[in-house]
Amino acid sequence: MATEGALIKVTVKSPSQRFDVEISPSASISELKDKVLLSVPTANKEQICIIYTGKILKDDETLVQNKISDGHTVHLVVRNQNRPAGPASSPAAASTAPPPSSQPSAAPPPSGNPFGGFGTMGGASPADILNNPDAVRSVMDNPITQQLLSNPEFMRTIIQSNPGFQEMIESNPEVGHILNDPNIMRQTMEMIRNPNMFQEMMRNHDQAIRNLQGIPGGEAALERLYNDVQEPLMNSASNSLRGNPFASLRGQQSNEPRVDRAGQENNEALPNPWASNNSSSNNASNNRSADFNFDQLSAMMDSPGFGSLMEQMMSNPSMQASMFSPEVVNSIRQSMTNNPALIDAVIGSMPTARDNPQITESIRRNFPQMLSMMSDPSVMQAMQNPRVSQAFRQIQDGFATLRQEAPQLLNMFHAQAGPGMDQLFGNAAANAAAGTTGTPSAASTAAGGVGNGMSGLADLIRHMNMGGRQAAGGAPAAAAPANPEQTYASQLEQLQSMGFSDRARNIAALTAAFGDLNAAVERLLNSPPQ
Amino acid sequence: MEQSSLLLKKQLADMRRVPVDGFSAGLVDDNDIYKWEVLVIGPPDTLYEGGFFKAILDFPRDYPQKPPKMKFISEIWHPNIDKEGNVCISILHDPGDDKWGYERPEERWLPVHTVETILLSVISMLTDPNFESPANVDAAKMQRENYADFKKKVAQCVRRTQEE
Repeated sequence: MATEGALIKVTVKSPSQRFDVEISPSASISELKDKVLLSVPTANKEQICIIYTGKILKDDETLVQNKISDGHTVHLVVRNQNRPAGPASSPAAASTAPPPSSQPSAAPPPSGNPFGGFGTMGGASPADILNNPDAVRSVMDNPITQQLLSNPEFMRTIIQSNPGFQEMIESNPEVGHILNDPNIMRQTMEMIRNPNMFQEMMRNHDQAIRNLQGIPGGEAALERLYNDVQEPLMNSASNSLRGNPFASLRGQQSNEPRVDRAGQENNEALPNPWASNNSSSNNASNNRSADFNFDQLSAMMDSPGFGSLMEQMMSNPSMQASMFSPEVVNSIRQSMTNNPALIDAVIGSMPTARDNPQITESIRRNFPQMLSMMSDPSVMQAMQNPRVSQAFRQIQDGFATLRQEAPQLLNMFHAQAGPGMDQLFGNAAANAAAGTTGTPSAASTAAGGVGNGMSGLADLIRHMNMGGRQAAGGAPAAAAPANPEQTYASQLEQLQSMGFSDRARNIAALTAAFGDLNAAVERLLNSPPQ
Repeated sequence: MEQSSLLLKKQLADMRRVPVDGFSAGLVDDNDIYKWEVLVIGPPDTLYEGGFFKAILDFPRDYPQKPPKMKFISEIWHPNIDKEGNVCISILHDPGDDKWGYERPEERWLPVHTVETILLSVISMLTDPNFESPANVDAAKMQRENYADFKKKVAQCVRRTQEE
């Protein structure tokens, strides 16, 4: 044993680390703790326990008294700080974070403690707040919070924007249905707001679990429940859901219905997001998805909010650009060709077209042409230009004015409307129809297309068209020819050499295609000679 | 000097220098090598975490032919520890065939066991109770049927050991 005054080396060992301390054998345990603190900066002196030969060493004793000599090793245990005094404080939970002190009975791990997730959330400040029932209540009682939380849409957005939760729903579709039940949401929120109610629920829950265990096969059901729901929830909660207090709450909610169904397969269909209110995000994502479902589409079109939504989308250039992106248009085109009924649905959704069989007929006839036009890259490019669609809107407005101011003029259009005559202006109709896939605006533009057969009126419309384009200011297609024959001389020649002999039709086609040879050829091939 | 005394002295010296995680062992009285006092540190991530459970290991003179007895002095609520604190695990049972037929001979006491291997078994028992042969039937029943109460009871024990 070392003599008085000479330092001895004591090894301090904790579950996570091991280090040496040099100290005089006559030093007190308190002094030893001071030295230990240098190596364990996160702990308080009150938290440190030194254990040696089966004893917790007391502060006022010395090393000699405890027969600690050179080279010996002592155990170091850092106790948890602020251990809650509640009778239910479980040491296991306390190791990560103390459970809320308001919780008198802790739930068993297999059944899951809805607030257990709070403990694993890490993050000091949210955890602190959550551990304080008063703070939670004041936050929850805040009118702003209440308003937010009473909005299921908002809650859904929060949850859906959480990658961890999304992942979890993907792997456990049955959990997803809670998202769509505003009642569960409200209940959950109510629970957070009211600790007493929460405790009551917890008690009921414990009771339910106990009863379940009592029935034959109940144990197995609980086990399955744990494996299917609790574990994935816990995993996602401990990974990416840190800081999301709702994650474990929601998991809890899913428990009971699962229990009811334990032992049978979950063959319920997932809720159809199209069933009610179309949110714009839903819509955009659907436009992107390559398969259009006919039923979904008609349901969508029948919804009253759709028109205004379209309006909104049209005024948002980036939304428009994404809507007109080639893959989206292609997918629309494909599904339209594969599904003739879809065209009818689109037409049916246009009020003007619905009331006017002539227009309907004409649109239907021209749909294939429109669709093939959509595959033309230059048309696509034009459609993607927000200014171009703005121009179309202006044309549309022009027709509206025309209809108001001079209805007889429009009637004349209709009377003269014949097969293939609308090709001159078909571009506009196609664009509008493709762009808006069945909005009322498409209908009125289409009506314009139907009526422009008369050559004089065609001029008028072309002027309107030009006016629109000039207003739009230099869109790609804005080079409107004063004399198409001259401007498109080279293209006309090429068409001639290809065997399109009808010069008037060639000019008309080129004008309609704004000089694009491919589109003009397409146009000529798709419309029967007059 | 008897073989048992030499063996225990060696183990004690080893443990002073290189203690094993999870427990600390020493003598109750320096003059009695057969009576050890052990402080079991509640294993992390169990209900017993945070507790310091005192126990006494009582070695027979014919150690290591016969196992020691282990008895918790601190109150501890566990299916495999009876209400007097006696630890009931197979490796502490006298060697030979089990008259009840539960344990295989190799699961029972073997002379190769040391304080260290005994304590490691005890710690693993705290982590993972054996419901098949409960020494504390009430604790086993409570753990199975009313886990919340079980947890509460264990937590009480843990807190009491911290106050000691």
